Amino acid sequence: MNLENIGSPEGVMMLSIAFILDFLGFMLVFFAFAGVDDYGLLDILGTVSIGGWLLIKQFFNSSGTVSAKKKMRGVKFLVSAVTEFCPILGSIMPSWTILVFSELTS
Amino acid sequence: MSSFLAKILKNKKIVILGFLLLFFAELTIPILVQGQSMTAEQKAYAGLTTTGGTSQYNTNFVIGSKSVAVSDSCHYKTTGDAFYYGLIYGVGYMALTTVETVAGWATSMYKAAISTGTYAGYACDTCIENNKIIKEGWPKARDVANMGIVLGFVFIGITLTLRISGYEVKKLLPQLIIVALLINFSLVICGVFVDGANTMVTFFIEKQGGLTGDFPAKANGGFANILRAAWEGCKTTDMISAIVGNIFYDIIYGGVLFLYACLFFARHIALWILTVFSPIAFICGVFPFTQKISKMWWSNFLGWCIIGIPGAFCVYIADSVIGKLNSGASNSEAGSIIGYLIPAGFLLVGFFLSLAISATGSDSVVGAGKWVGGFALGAVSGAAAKGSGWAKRLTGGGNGSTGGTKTAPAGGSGPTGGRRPTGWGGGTPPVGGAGTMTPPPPGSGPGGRAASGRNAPTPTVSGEPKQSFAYRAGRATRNAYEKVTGVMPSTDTAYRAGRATRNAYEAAKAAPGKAYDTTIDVAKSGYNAAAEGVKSRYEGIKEAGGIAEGWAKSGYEATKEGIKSRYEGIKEAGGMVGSGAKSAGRWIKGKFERSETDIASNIKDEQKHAEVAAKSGMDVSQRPPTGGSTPTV
Repeated sequence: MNLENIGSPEGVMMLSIAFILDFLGFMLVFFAFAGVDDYGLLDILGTVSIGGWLLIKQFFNSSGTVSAKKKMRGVKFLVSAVTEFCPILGSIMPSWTILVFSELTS
Repeated sequence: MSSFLAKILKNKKIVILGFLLLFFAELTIPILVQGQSMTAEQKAYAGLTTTGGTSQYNTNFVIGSKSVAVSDSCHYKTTGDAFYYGLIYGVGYMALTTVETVAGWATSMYKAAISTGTYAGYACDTCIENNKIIKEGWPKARDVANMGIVLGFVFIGITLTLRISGYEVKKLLPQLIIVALLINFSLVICGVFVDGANTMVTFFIEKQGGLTGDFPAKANGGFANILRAAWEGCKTTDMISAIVGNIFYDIIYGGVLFLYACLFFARHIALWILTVFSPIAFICGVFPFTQKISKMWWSNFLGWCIIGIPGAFCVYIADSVIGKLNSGASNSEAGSIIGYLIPAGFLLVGFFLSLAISATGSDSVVGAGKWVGGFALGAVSGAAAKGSGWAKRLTGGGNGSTGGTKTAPAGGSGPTGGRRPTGWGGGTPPVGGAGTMTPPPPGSGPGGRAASGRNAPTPTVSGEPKQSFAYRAGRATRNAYEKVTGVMPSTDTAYRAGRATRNAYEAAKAAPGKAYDTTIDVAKSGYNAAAEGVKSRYEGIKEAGGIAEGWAKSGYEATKEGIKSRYEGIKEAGGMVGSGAKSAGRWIKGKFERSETDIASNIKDEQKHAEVAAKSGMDVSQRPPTGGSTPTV
């Protein structure tokens, strides 16, 4: 596991964003009984921000071929996004943080 | 009744829905009242006029932060119209107010982040006078680094004294001295990088209109016009799309500005922390076991320095695009939302681009720094080596940077070539009677070659051109091997000794009486002498083998050293790659290994022969004589 990228500017920023999104989602669970909901706003923000980051990262590291790593990256993003869009599971699971962490340490 | 109310109040959803309905009613009822139930005086008071039986509403239209004067003539014809437009108005009001508030917070954060330098106590990222964190932290880190310098000197001293290998102490010492000076200027060095990056960041931020970043406000102005046009024209679809677009726009801009605010805040804090630790990072760059920390520090420091530049540039581009795309845009066109969404896309992409560029950019800067540093160091050391080479040439010694002349080590004394056995061979025993047999004087027997390798001249390679040095060193090794094999004693001395012993024995058998005993004694002494000779010859062979091996090894080492010094000389001179030297080294090494194998097999053969000879000396009947005259008794 390569932990050097965690302390880089990219790592600090993206981990912060992912953590905030997951934390807000988790906090919303406690207010769900009062009818408070984000109507998928956090999920959209997460998909746009973290997906955009992965896309640009891929563009910068692109070698022109579809490698197994790229496929794995896409699969991991899809799994995280689908998990986040699930009503209760998405709020409880810190899937954005896990995705960013695994991407930074891979 | 009270229990029913309690039940209702316990159900939070019903309570919240009730509040929402009240809020909605508060928004819609006045419109209904104004449009349908007001008297002419009331209408005049409220800004409504009646033209041809239709209420005309002249007032400010307020949704969220948008307040524009409208002249309304189509919304209050019927109660249904009023309810419908009231619904749109109410929902739009709630949603837009919420997202605009959040976007406003993000805007305020962004403004604060890009103007952190103006706050008292943190006016400068790397100024000790104006930044409390630097003022408190950096001197302490510098003191710790100074202690590290002292420990470094102690470490180098111990390494030198105890001759601990593995550390290039000669390189460490000058580096440590330089770093001892640099850590006191680490703040200035950091300041150069940070101020350089900040100059560009400030340039782009000031270009966008003096640290404003009021994208939501700008866009809201545009949306207000769209809404007003839609409201006045009673275009419901345009109105809804404008409200939805505005909400979407505010979310995107609020989110992006929040990200930029986090980015610039984090940049300031990271630069402060990294600047505080800069003296320690500098000293970590000296020692091999801490260089990783130094590399990490430089990578992160440069990354945080340059991360602001693409970020500020993208904000500047987005600001310009908003101005150009929306100048003179139609107020009634919902499509003009695109004019605000494209800059939002710019901002979002710019943010991620900043992150990606910071990572690759810092690596590039570190790589460029290494290249420049390596080039400068190579040039300096190459010039120094050439200078010393010229100096040596002028004083008549060696050829400078090519490593000077190399002399192969002395090969030691050559093998003795086997001892000459004493008391064996051609002595003539007394014939008849009680004659006495005198053993021959030592050194008169056969065998025992002269030690041709003992005083062989040591192969030297000096004054040769540097290109052929490796080949000549290899040739010297080969010559040494050939000389060693040349002085190996041959096996026929052992056979001669055995033959003489056998003859003596047969002569003794043929001699009668005392002469027989005497002959036996002579034979015995001859046998002993032969055995000693064989033994000493065996030892000689062994010794010769050992010397040959040592000689070849030292020759190989000399070759290796010569090749190494030549390779380094070429490398220091800054030009050629020593692939030729490497291949020559490989060839010589292979040659040496083959020589070593040959010598070992030769020694084994000799040992075998010696053993066979020794055996034949003890039991001559097993080994028929190959000639020679029978001694007479």
